[in-house]
Amino acid sequence: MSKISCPLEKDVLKGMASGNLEPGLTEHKTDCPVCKESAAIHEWMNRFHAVSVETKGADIKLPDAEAIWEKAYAPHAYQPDKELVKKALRPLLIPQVLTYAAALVFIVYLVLSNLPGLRDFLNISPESLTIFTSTASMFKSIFKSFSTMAVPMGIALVSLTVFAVVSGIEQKRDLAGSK
Amino acid sequence: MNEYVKKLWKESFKGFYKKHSRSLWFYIYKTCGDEHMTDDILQEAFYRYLKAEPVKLNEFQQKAYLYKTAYRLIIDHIRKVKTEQDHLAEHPAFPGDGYETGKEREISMDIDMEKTFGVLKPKERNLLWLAYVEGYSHKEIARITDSKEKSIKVQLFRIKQKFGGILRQKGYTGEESREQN
Repeated sequence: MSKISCPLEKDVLKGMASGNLEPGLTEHKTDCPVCKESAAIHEWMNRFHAVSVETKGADIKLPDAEAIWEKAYAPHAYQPDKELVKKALRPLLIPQVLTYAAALVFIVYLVLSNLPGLRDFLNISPESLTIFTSTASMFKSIFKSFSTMAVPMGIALVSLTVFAVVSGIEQKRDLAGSK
Repeated sequence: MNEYVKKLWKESFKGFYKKHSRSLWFYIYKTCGDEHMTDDILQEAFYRYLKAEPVKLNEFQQKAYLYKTAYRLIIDHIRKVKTEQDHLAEHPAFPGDGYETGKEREISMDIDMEKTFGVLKPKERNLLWLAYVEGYSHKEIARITDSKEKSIKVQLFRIKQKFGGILRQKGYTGEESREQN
């Protein structure tokens, strides 16, 4: 058999599978070495399959579809324990909130401390900035004893301290719980 | 996925499972030759199919996806066996090799056919099954086995030559010798 394939092989196999092989293809099947070999294998394979189904088919105990569905979609299969997640994330929650608050305070401080410059940049009339200028002067009086760099550093230090304290408390709670 | 879609998907899955689970079981069994492993692979293949939620694919594509998953699991299984027992890699345990018990053993024709098919390597059995029992084209087999279409064409040609030779040795040449096998 020198040919790798035959253009009619597909049709021959299709006809054989449907049990309705055209007379022309039946003739070709016996003449063409590729199709002859394929047809013999096709016939043997399908007979093998049919015999296996006959002898083994009734014995096969397929897994229950419902059980596979449950395995894939049962709530516990893909949803983590909410309580555990909450517990694990608790030490991070307070520092996170504090960091956001500190960032907000720092931004307000930066805006208010640079108010004259911003006013010129945004071209805002001094009258409309009365509230802001008074708030700015209040902030200046609060922060006048600190240098500009001391403020963000102080905020970071406070956040870290709170984080350490909260983590320590959580650890103690866990130890007490495990006992 | 909302509850209504989930309900529809569940019904669709049950129908799909009923239609294809048996043929998939035979495909896995005839390729890997281990009944317990077949059950495990079948379950895992359907589980992965559900996890992938291939609802956008048509039924034929879904079936191909399932066979592809099963094929990968079979390959993993064969590799595992290869690592554990090197001698089994050459001729992985197959029902016809003599370890299987049950009804099949009692039917001599089936055992003879199992032995004939068991001579082939798992990959060869897999390709023959996909091409001749499942009726997949070269292109579809290439997609299932992550190979190139041309490579499948050449491989199938070689397997056909090899298996054709084995069948001829056994006296099987086609319709006229059906009764002999």
